[in-house]
Amino acid sequence: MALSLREGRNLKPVEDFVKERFSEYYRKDSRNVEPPPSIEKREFGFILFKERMMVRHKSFRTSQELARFLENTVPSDAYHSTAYYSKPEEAMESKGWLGADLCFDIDADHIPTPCKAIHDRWTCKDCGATDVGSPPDICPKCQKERIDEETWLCEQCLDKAKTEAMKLVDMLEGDFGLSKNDMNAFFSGHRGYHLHVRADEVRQLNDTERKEIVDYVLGLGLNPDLHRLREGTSKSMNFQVGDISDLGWRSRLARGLFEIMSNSNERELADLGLKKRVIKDILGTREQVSKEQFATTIRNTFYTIGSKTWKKIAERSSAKIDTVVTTDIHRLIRLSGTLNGRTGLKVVNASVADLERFDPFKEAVALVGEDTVYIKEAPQFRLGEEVFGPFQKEKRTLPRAAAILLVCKGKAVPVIS
Amino acid sequence: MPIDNDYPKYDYVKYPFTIEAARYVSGLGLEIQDLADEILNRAENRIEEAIANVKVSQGSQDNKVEILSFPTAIMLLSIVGDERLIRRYALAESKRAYELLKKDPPANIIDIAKNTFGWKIGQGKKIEESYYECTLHFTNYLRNATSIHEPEWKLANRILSGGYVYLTKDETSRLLLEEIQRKILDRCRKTTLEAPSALAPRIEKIKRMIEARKGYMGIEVPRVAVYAAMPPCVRNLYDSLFAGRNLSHMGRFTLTSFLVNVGVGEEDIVKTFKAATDFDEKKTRYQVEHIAGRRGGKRKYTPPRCETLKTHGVCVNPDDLCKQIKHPLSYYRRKVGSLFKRGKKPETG
Repeated sequence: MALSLREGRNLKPVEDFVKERFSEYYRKDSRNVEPPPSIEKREFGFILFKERMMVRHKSFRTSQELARFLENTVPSDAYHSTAYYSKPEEAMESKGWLGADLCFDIDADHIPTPCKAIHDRWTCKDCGATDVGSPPDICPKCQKERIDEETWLCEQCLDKAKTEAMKLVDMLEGDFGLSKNDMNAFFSGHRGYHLHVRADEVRQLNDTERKEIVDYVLGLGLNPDLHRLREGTSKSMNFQVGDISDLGWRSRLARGLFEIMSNSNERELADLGLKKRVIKDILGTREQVSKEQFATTIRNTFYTIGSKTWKKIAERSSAKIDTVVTTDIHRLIRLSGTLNGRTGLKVVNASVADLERFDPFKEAVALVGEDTVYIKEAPQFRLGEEVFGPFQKEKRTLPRAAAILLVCKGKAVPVIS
Repeated sequence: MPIDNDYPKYDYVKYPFTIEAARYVSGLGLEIQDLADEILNRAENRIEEAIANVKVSQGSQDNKVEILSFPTAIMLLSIVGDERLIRRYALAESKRAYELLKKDPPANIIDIAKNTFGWKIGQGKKIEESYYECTLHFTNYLRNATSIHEPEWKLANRILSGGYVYLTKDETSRLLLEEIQRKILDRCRKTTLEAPSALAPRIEKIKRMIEARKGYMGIEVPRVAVYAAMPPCVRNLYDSLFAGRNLSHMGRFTLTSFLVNVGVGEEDIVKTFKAATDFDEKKTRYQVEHIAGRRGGKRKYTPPRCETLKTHGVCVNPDDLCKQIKHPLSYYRRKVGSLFKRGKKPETG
């Protein structure tokens, strides 16, 4: 469902209020909409405010046609296929799949962050049990699966997601040899980033092959023995700090180990499952010897490191992507420049080359003007240069983007004059 | 490209599926009715050996006959149109190529991969203590490696750098096996026009060969195992095996130990495996005997529990009965029980 406004309430006025603002955006700013290349070969899908259902199998020949549709229909959410089809408007089995971009989804929901305990909450729809933090799969009280979540976009969560996106870009460029020119990163307008690789060489990959890429990025099924990291023989000694930069996972694991060993304290090292004697060695030499000598000490510990420790190192070095988006070759994904119905923020292209400096709380602001809302409760947040809240049962006139964000997230209701 | 009709390169004999060999053949401009008996005999012989042993040996001393017999065999197979036979033949020919490629210098392997299959492949280098003779673009790697389920073929366990996977000569040949197999399958599946009447007796003969070897080719389920009573995971393994897919170690172990435990004889299990795949008979027999408890620790193995099967991705499409049991054998026992409740008990199992 597009809006997180709870079901079972009278939503009509709230919906109309939001839709009116969206409508204004599409009337004035539809040029912001950035359709994917080969627009005529893509399927488009939209969630409509009223019907609250997905309308699929749409196709457009030009970006003007698409802009006109957005202006007239004003959807709450807009998507396009990652795939290319010869007949995108036909039913799935007769579309004629021609290939698909390689896409990745990095969602803060799937990355554990300590701040979730502050801004996220879940409630069991059956027994009413509730708690802060990420939702459990089943309710611990009544064992049912119907769980309602209330999430918030927070800087810390999105920063973490961005870091994962940068790790992914690094892997795709270094290991997979893909060019940054063929990559597009988008902020989803809510809790994450999408990375699209639009290169000829990846277009024909099937779902099994894409799953293998997912496993690579996540380090799933990685076996350190097969990377000769446990032999403890002269072979592993050959690793030099300098020349481990271009061997894919083998060097990523070695680098991860160096990093951890150089920066962790005694307890953190113990948590990794290292033996006491090894920890003593590391801590003993770390401060006194040169970087090169320290590297030798670490190399000498390769054979004492068990597979559990390597797994932990692999986990730290992997990029935490959500698996389904990448493997589904018929997927619909958010259209750049359109509004996200969960927030009223826009999906926006975040330059891959300059991802580190990208500020989603500034770039994704789309709506202009002001609105008055009654806020039930909301944590502090920032949009652009301005910080808002925290709010508690108060009526406020706020910049429109902030007001709509609160309304879409179910934290506020419009005060209609 | 100029071709010397009388003295074809020996490589074409070894690798008749290559683009160069195909050009040589089309350069000869032969029609079906021109095919000499010698060529047809050798083509038949290729097919016969594939049916019997999943093998193709060096045949005629005449290079031209040897080269021409390959496309001729494919033509015959596409007319007969038996899917199982086509799979078996493709496997036999690709295995033969694999054995030959392994012994060739890397430059030849790279040439074939590039010219015939359009692979993005280059010369490798020594990394640490190991020689990697080839580097292969990850897309070509994935297309062929995802059907091999051993952990060392997982991309995450490979050196991948700048888009290229580092491979030994052997490994490259193994991946070529998959590609060659696919190419032969595609060619055999292409529908040919009506068979020329001159070929009718040959076609009949091949059909009779299939008939005679039916049991061998795994058309029959081993008599004693009740297919309908197998849990979804085992049925899936069984079907995969006959679809010509490679099973993971865990999958192979699960299937074998399952069959052993429901009373299928060792000989029948060996036949089942041999019929469907490229398993080395000696190795398969050894494994089956080991699992049946006739070798090694003299312990008869049972299949892993459902939980273990889940971890290894062997568990698929669990049904209602699966929810009630924790072991694939319990599934089978219950299902057999319910299937034969009112009727006669099955003879065995």
